[in-house]
Amino acid sequence: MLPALSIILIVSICETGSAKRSSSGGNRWGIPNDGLWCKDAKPKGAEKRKSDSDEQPFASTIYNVPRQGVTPNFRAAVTLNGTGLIGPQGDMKVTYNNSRPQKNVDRNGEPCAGKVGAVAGSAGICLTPFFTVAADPRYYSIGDVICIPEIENGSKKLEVPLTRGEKKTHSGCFIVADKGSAIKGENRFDFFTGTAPEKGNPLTDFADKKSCNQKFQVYRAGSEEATKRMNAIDKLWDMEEGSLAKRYQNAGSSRRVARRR
Amino acid sequence: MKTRWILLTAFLFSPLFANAQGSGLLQQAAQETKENTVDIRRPPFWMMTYFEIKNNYADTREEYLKKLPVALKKVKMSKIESKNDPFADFNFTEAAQTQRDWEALMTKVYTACLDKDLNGKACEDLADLRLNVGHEHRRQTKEDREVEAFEHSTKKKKSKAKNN
Repeated sequence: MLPALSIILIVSICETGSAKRSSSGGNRWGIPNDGLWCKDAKPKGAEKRKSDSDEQPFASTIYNVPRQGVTPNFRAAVTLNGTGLIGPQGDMKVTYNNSRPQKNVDRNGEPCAGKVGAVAGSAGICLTPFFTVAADPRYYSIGDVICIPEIENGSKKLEVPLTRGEKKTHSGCFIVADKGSAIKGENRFDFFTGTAPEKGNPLTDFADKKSCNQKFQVYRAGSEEATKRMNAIDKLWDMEEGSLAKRYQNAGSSRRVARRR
Repeated sequence: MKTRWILLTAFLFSPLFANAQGSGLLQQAAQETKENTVDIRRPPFWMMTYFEIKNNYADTREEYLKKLPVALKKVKMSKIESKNDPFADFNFTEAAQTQRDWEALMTKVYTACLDKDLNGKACEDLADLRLNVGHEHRRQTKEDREVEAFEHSTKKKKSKAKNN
């Protein structure tokens, strides 16, 4: 009698939980529209981060920019990802709502297509495939660096295809360069993978869709630590040291002022 | 005899008590300072940073600098504020040109925003302004569009319920 009762109880608890999650809808990854999947997975007392170096769990997904001729089912992929690239070098972009094709340029009118840049993010800076994320602007500003200690310290390896498909070991850090209405909460990120399709993409398997098993740390824009990590990404992409820091103007905005009320 | 021992013990241990009390006070002071410290690089982000303004689309920058003075009018700098609008003569576009001037403004506003009783709503509105400018450049994946539609319908339902 008792086991039967406990089974009923467990089932009803699970149902209540799923009902709660589905009440706000949910995306193809199963993350509810409030985006706060990790709120249940957070360890007790971790609701308020004491400092940026506090390791916290996160949920992550991926997004990309499909390219005509490379991505199968290009039109469907554009509908899913919002934007797609056309033209021989991917120098024009089209959007899901069939508006006129536009030049694929950054906020200064410089082309994003090419060796590293793929498409501009919400602040008009060309995104770096595999090394930039979309995050909630309530908690992060453009140029903040999100690092996954497990990859950074080498205990977990992540290999990504960079220049001409050459595979390199990921540094474990991502620059906050974009935002999206679906990316909500301190513990939710969306990795940008450039023109690499979802299938067969190393970050597709790596992204922690909802289990919140991986942890992250933050290095704020302008800090020496953030610049150091941007330089490491430069090196991986065979770019001149300081290129990314310059792109995000990541220099010397560290100002901490104490005022007593 | 007994009283003398008690007095002697109290005399010997008094520095320790004073120390313990002192460290307690220090801790309290440190905690107080921490609570009253503004770090413009960390959330809550009440305003756009100098680099967020500089590294943005020109139209987003213009829109933000146009709407900012209106939002800042509601933020009171202190409880005994003499001026109605402390930024009446302030040139925001000029301040946004130099990191030092912009961060001085940010520090002033962030300090005012520490007082939640005085500026809670005004600072929330200020933060919302930072989030909502540059809407046309937002990412629009299918997930983003679905969330926007969901939020829009929720907002509509809420306002309908409020009207009824």
